[in-house]
Amino acid sequence: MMMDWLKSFFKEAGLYIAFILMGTLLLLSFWVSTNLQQSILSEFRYKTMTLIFAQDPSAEFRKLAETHPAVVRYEIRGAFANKDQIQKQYPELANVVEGLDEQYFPSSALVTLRDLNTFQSALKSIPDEIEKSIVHQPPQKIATFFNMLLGLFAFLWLLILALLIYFKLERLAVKETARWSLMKMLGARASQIFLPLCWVQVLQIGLGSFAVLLLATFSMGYLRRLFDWNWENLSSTIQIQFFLGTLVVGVGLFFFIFSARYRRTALG
Amino acid sequence: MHSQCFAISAKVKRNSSYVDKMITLEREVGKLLFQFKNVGKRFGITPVFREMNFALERGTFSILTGQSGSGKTTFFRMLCGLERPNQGEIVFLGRRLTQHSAVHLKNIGFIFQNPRGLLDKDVYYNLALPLMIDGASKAEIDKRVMEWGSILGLRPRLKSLCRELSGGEIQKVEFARALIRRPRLILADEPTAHLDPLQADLLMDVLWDHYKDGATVFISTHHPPKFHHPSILRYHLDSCQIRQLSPTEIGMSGFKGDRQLKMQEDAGLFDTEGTGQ
Repeated sequence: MMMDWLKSFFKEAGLYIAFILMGTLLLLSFWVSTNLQQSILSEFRYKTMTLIFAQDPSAEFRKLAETHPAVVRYEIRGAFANKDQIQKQYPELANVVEGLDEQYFPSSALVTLRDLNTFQSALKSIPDEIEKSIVHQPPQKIATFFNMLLGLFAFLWLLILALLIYFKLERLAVKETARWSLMKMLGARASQIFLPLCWVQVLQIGLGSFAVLLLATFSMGYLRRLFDWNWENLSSTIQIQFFLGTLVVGVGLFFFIFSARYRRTALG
Repeated sequence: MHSQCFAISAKVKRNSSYVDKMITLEREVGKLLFQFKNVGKRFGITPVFREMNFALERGTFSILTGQSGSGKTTFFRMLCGLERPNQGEIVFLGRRLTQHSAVHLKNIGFIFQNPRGLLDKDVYYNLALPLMIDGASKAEIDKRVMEWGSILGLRPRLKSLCRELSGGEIQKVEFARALIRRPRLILADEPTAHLDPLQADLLMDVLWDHYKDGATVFISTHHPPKFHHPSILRYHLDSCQIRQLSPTEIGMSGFKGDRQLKMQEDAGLFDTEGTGQ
């Protein structure tokens, strides 16, 4: 009897610790992901396009870039400037580049755009002028990776929460089956048994969520010291939302698992 | 019968308003409570019932007898919705019975042969549980628990844990818990099995009072009471069938003792006022 109790206690304690750790990982990955979105990805708030000209850009192109509403800013580089840029970028090839004629370094323009499609349509009016165009994309793969990580942690966190509630309920059911069965026979609704149990569960999940927030705050401070970067704080709104969300999800899961268990309870 | 039921409902309403809202069985259409239609039941290859037909009407006092192993408890469990037939159907208040709804369960008093009480709780809690489920006030619960404690002689044991009680006392707790709501249907399986004759008589008196108040009482028992009354319907389980016993089979002669006199007085059979009728 004592061994059974110890076993279930350690199982529940282990799950509770896992719930806190997974919740911390979830919050941390959310925090890192948010910082990435806000810093790196915001650089790509506007689309950027590089245009390579067949000849030097005409007045017609300059007028288009000046007047088109989709253009935020543009910068034209001549052949000489491009040659110079490549020499600076690859100093080991400087001598080779130096010997090459300027005709091998076409003029180009770096255009920052609000709306890529309308500008691309407008460029069709000067088709002979543009040799090649390159659209620069933000590093979506990093964002996707962090979103997937976030999803994975959220799934694992939910799974651990469900397991925690399930095993706790199973332990309670062993102890309380006779009472639940009798109450069911006396016509008690599931909610009449659920509500008194629910408060204890809310308290436990609430304490767990609070521990998650403390641990996450501590971990964020550590990461800040480790990586010198312009980290944004995790807002208090997010922290409150996490706390309340955990309670709501916990109670919802508890009610779902309890209802299924109560349905299986024999009458009398 | 209907007018009697509504009169009782009104009386209960005066005494305690919360009980009235639970009395729903009377409001259902029809006189039949239970109908067994060609019911067959077997455990493994052993048949218990074969194409059995039976009807239990509202406002009756019925006693089911039969030898050990004849299927009394199985029949009782079928009425409770705990067993399902292998063939045929059981109809309760015009609908096929699978499991009693929570509303109906509040109007049915189950008394099982084996106690269902909570042994680690005290007698008070066990008696008060149905009223707590109904949301009765503390004062109402106290009043009713004291009332039933007095009726059944459990008052000195109200604070005792059920596990500390004797078999007979536990049986009385089961009995009181089943009846404390004044249910409109009482299903009892061997309700007096663990009691001495005096206590058994007391419990039968209580059941009889409920019957007089309009409740339907169905008792399944291995030891039928010695008394009889014309209103009591007696059934017997034998050879996988149920049949109603005729007065001859019951042996109506031999009315003796206070119980018979009391019941006959209730029914107006005897002139106890000395009017000579």
